[in-house]
Amino acid sequence: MLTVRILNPLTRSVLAVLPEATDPRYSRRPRSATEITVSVPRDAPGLAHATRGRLLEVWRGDSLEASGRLELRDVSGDSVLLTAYTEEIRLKDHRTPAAYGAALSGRDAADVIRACLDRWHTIRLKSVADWRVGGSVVNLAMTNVQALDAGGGTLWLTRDAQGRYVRNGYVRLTFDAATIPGFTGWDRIRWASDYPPDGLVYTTVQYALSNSATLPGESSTSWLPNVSWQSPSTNPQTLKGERGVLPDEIGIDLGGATNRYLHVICRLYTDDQVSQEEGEEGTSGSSPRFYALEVIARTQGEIIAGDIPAETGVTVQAINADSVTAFDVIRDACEQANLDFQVVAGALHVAESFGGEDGLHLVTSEGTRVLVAEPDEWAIVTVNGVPLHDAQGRYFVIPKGA
Amino acid sequence: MKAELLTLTETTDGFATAIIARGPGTGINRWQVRLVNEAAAAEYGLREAVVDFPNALDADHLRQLAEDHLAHVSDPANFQELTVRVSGHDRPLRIGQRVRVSDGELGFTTTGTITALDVTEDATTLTLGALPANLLDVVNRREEEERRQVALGLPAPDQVDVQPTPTGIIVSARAGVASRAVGLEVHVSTVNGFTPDASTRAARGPGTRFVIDGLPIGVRQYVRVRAYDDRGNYSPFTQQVSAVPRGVGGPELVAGTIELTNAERPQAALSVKTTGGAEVLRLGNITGKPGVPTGTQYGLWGVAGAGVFIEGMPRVVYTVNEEWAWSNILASPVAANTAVSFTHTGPAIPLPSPVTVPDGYRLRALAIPHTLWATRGVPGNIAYDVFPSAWVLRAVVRRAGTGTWTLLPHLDAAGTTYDQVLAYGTGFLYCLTGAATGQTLMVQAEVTIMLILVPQGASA
Repeated sequence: MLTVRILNPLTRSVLAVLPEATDPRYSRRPRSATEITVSVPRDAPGLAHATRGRLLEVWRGDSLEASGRLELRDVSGDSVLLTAYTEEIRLKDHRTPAAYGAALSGRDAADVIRACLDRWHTIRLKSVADWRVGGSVVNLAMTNVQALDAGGGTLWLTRDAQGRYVRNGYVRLTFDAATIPGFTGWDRIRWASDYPPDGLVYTTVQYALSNSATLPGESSTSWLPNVSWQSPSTNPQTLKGERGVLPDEIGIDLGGATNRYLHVICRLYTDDQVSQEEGEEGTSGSSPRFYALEVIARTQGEIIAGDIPAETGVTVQAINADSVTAFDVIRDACEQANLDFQVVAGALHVAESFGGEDGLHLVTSEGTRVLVAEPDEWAIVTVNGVPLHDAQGRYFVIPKGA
Repeated sequence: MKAELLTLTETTDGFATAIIARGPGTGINRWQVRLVNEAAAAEYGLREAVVDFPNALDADHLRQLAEDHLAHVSDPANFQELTVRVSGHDRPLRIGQRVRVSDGELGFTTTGTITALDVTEDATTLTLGALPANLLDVVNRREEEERRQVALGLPAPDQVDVQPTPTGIIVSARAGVASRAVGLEVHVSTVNGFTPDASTRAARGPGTRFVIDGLPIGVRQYVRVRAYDDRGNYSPFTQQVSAVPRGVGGPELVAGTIELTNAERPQAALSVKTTGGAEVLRLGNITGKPGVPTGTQYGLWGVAGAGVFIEGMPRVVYTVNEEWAWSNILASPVAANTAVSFTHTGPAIPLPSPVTVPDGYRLRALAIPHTLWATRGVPGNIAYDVFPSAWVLRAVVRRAGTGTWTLLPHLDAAGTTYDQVLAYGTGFLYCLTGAATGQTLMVQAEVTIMLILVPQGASA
C-alpha cells in the first residue's frame, strides 16, 4: 500500500501521513528535476498540510519510492492530484550574482558544483542613496570624494578652491556580516569604474578583513593588496591598491573569509587638473567615475554536499552565470564534466552514473555503499523473508553466489 | 446556465518569494534591489527570481516596481487555474467579465475574471483568473466548517425592488458580491408583515429578475426574498417591500423629484421635499403634521406657498396685528345724543419680503378689526355712554420704488411689487351724555392687517 508523507522542508519532520494514495507516477532523468505525481482521496486527513513548498515522500510499504518538493495540486478529478518535483528543484531557489560566470569559470567542475550549494548575498552600492551608513554598511567615510548621480557615475572627486578636481580622494566603508542572515563567508568585491588604459584618471580598491568595526586609516598597511606604484604621467603620483582585471566580474576574491567585518577603500586619482571641455569656465580637470561597488557574501543554503568527487579533472569553461539558478550552473558544470547529479534527502550527490533507471543506493552486508548498475548481480539480504535495509531505506545486498 | 468545473489546479511559472529587481543597464552597473516576502518565504521557502525593470527611473522607482511585482508573484492565489464549461447561457460571455463559480461537491464558491474563452456550438469553456483566494487551500480543508470560514458567505439578498405591472409585479434582487448564492427565492403575500412559507413561494431560480403575473389588480402585494446555495442552504429573508398591480391602463406614477417612501413605514406613502430636505407635501399618514386636526391619520398635508399651490385658491402672503389707541381732546363741548367724527392712520409697516403679484393674481389688503370701543379719559376704561358708530377700516399698500400708496383691490399688472402696508380707520363716537371742552374721548381697536393674493377672476 502506498502512503504519502508530507514533510517540513527545513526540518524534514513529518507533518502528515496521507493513506490510501493511488496511482504514483514518477520518472528520473539525468540532471533534471522530474515530476512525481500521486492521487490522494479528497477527504484524506492531513491533506491541508499538502501545500506548495512542503516535501512529499511516496512510500510503498516501508520503502521510500520517491521524494520531492510539492508544487502543484489539482482537484479536477475525484481525488486530489499532488505533483512534486524531485529535490533537485530546490537548487532552482537561489541564483548567482549578475555576470558571475567569470568567477566560476576556470575551476574544476567539482569545485564549481560545491560553490553553488550556498546562497549568494549581494550588496550593491550604486545610487547616491546607497553611499551612506545603513543596512550592511556600518561605517562610511568620504575624503575628497562626493557621491553624485550625475553623468552616470556615482563617486567623483571633489574640486579645490580653484575649481580643479583634487588629485585624489577615497571612501572607506565597513560591511558587517552580522547583518547578513545565514552568513557563511565573504566571497568577493567587484566594482565598475573608470580606469582607461591611456587616460589620466585611475581607480583602485583595497580591503581589510577584521573582527573590529574600526575603519583602518587611509595609509594603513592593513589594506590588501598592499601594493603601490607611480602613475604613468608627466605629473605622477603614487597609486595604491588593486586596479583589477575584469573588476566588475571577477573583482577581488575574498576566499570565503569569515571575519565579521569587511573594510573596503575605493580610491580615485586624477593626474589631470588643467583640461577644460568646450565652454567650460571656472573649473578644470577631470575626475574618474566610480559607478558601482558590489560585495558578495555567501549564506547558508538548504542543500548540503553529499557524495561529490574531490575533483573531476575537468575545468569548467565559459559558464553562463548571469543571475541564473544554482541548478543551471550545476547542470552546465556536470554536462561539461559528463557527470550526473541528484539531490536526495537534502544532499547533493554527483557521480558519473546513479545506476541506471532504478537509481537505488544499496549497502553491502559489510556496510559499503554501492551504486547498482547491474542489480541482477546482487541479492537483497532478508531476515525471515523481510528485506533488510538501513535507516535511509537502502537495502543490504550480497553478491549473488557469494 | 449549466456549469461544470473542468480543472482547478495550481501553476508554478513565475511564483517566487524573493526577487532580485534590476534596473536599466548591464552587469553590476545598474540599480539592483533584492526584496523578500518574509511571510511567503517562511511558508513556501525562499525562492529567488530575477526581474528586469528597464523602465525604472531611479532607485526608488525600481524599489516601488519591485515591491508591486513581489506582492503579485509571492501570492499563490495568483498561480492557479480554474476552467469551467458552461452551456445554456443566453448572453455572450466576454474576456474580462467577472463571474461567480460555485461547486457543491468541492464546497466552495468564488468569483473570477474570464481570462480566456473557448467556444463551441454546445458549450463555452472559461478560463478564470484573479481568484480571490487559493482555492486549493479551501478545498483541502477537510472540515466543512473550515471551508465555510474560507469560502464566501450567504447573506440576505440586497437591492431588492418591486415594480407593478398591469397584471402583477416584477421583483428584482441581487445575491450580493460576497455571496456564494446560486439563486434566489421570491415569496409574495397580501398580508402585511407575513412570514414566508411554502405557500408564499412565488418564484425561484438563478436569475435576478422575476416576473410574477396573475395577481389581483389593486391589491397590495408584499414581497420577501432569500438566496440559496448549491447545497440547500438558505440566507435570511429580506425585509418586505410591496407594490400594487395597477391593472391595464392604470395610472403610472413616475418618480422624479418625488420620493416614494416605503408603504410600510408609518410616515407617508408619498412625500415631497425641497432640495434642502424640508417636507412640503405629504400624502398618506399626516398625523402630527402642523395644522392637522387631532385624530386625523390619512390625508394630504402641505405647506401652502412653499410646496402647495392649489389653483383658484387665495393665498395669504402676510399678516400682522396692530393695537390702536387714539384720543381726541375736545376743543368744544359735545351735546348729549350727538356724534363726534374720528380718523386714525396706523404706522407704515415694511413688509419682511416685498410681495410681487404673480401672473393671474391680484393683491388684496384687508384691515380686520377684532375689537373697537370707546373710552372717556383713560385708556382701557370702557365708557358705557359713548360708543363707536359707522366705522370703516382699510389697508393700503405702497408700490415699491414709487412711494405711491394705493387702495386695494387695484388693477396693477402682474409683476407689480409692494413693499409697505398700513391701515387706517374712520368713523364717529356717539355720546349719550354730553362732554365738556378739554375732556378726552378715546377709540381703541385691535386690527389684523392681511395681504392676500387672489385669483384675478375671483371675488375680492
